[in-house]
Amino acid sequence: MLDMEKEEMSADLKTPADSFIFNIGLADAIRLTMFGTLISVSRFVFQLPIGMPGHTSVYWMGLLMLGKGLIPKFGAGTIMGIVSGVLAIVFGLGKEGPLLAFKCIVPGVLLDILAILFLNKLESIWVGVIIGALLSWSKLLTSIALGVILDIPVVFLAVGFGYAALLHVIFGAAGGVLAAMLIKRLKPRLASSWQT
Amino acid sequence: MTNGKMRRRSGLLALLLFTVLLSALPLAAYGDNDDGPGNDQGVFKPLGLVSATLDNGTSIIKADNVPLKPKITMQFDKNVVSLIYWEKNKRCFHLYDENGKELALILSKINDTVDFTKRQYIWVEPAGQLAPGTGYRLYVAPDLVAKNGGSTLSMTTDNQGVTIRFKTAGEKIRQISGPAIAAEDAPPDAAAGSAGAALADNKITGGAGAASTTSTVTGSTGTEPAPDAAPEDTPVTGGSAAASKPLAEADLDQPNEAAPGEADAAKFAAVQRGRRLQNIVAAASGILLAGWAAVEVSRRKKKG
Amino acid sequence: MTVNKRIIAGILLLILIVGGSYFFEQITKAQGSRNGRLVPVIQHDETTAYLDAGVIRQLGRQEQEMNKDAGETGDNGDNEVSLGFVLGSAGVAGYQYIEVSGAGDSEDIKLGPRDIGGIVLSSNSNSTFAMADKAGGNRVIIKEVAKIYVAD
Repeated sequence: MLDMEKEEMSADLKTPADSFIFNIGLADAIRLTMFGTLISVSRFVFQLPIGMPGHTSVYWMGLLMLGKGLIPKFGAGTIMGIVSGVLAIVFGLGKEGPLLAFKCIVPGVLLDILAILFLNKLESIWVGVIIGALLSWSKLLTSIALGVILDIPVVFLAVGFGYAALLHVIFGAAGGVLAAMLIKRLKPRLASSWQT
Repeated sequence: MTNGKMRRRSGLLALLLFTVLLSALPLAAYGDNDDGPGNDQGVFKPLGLVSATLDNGTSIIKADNVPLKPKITMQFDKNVVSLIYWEKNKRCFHLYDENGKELALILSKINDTVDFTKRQYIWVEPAGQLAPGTGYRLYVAPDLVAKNGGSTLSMTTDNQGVTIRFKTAGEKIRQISGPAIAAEDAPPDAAAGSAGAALADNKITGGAGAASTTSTVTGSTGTEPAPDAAPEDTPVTGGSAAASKPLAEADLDQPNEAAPGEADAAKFAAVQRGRRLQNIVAAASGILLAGWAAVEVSRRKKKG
Repeated sequence: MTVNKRIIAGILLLILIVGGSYFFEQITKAQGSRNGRLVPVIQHDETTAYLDAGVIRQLGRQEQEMNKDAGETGDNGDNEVSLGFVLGSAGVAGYQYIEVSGAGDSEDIKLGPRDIGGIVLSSNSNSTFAMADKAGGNRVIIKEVAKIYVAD
């Protein structure tokens, strides 16, 4: 009796898949929401006094990639991006106002595309380096675009762009490496219980 | 059987709803109107002083034997040299001597529009030579603001700003009231030098053998540290002997004499409230995370 | 294409991105300096700061704010900032004179510390900024400022 109920519950978790965006099941949607929340919270909690542009990419891109690696479905990155973007607006993180959401959504969307290009092999260290760095750089580009929209003087956007790009790439790559290592270790353990 | 399935499904949904609410509530509370700096200006990371060093790399904080013309490199953890706020920021730096008299400073920076890597550094240099063996207080007001326009020094200093005390190298030169003693204790040229100028308004009474740093000074027209002075203000000049303070007391016993300057107390209070809420959000997130992990573990156990 | 080939392509792309970012920065500086959209402030034969129309607008707002805080009534209009404030913000102090050049064939203007009192910079609509003499009836001295040279 108990075993049957267990089986039913397991089946229940699999059935709602069709009813969500990107064909992602309820459990995965919730997990992605959690990752999205974690991204926003981490930006808020880990306020490291490093004073280097792009250092948040270590955990920002790291968590984004970890979520995508553990739930390798198209749209996972976008959902995390949207959730973290909405929460970032609620938190009021930054001066961009509602436009801030784009800074979170763009890397999320790009992650979905890049994951396809790299055959969803996010557990590979080199893939982690490349995707993490590209995501981080896309975040920088979005910031620059928002700066142009918000009428920030061009001199502030252009000068130091090379240095900022280099650091964003480095920190993003570091986040990607961490994510790849975690995905490699966590994925086999979670595979049995997580519906992916 | 169907009832059991329904029960479980409702239980799972209730749990999910609860976790979502748990995460949403503190966030919503944080974002709510005036409870934090989260709306109009955004949440800004605090601005802090990383180090204050001399040319040779040694820290000047509580240092003795500091050269008489020190060039102090102050490193902050954010961009403090932005063109937009430089005029405001350079008024945040003040140097006081033992009598609370403000001395002129030369501030320099490397613009972030020229070299992005030096945006956290400000170089501070007294305009004139300092007096030997004398204690000084370099005060950075809490109004110091980073390029983002929201991160201020008040956030990391409890709205007090930063006070750095140091003492210059050499023997302190005392100006003595009697000409006969002056001739005995100090060379005339030194007595008339910069130290003499700094202490010119004070009458010093003390035993000939008293240690210079602990000499008690009572001045008829002594100067007080300017606790509430605005950045541009000149130090307050005491009109009576009662208004002035002994050197040691003025220098050591007033850890908070460097008051907030122009910083807006209400704004600071709002920032503090925001930080408290930030802690609540962090704690709630921690609980949420732990709950999530617990649910996952229990599900795995049930399954396996 | 195998994953390894994609990884190599990705790494090359990263190198290109970083190099391209530095290149973009240099190009922007060089082009901006030529067309008056990025104005260098030169002291001791070195560029100490770059200014543009956006900076002038923001400095104008900042000056007004500081004047208000100090209880003074600045007579500068919107998008205007006094030259003294700009020089101070750029970290320029203790100079003998400044020489302001305009874009194109316009004359260079020499100003001593006492002459800059009534001089203001105001942003133009084409992302450049002009220099005007407020004291002299708001007369435009240089239509598009291209360079500010500071002599000690």
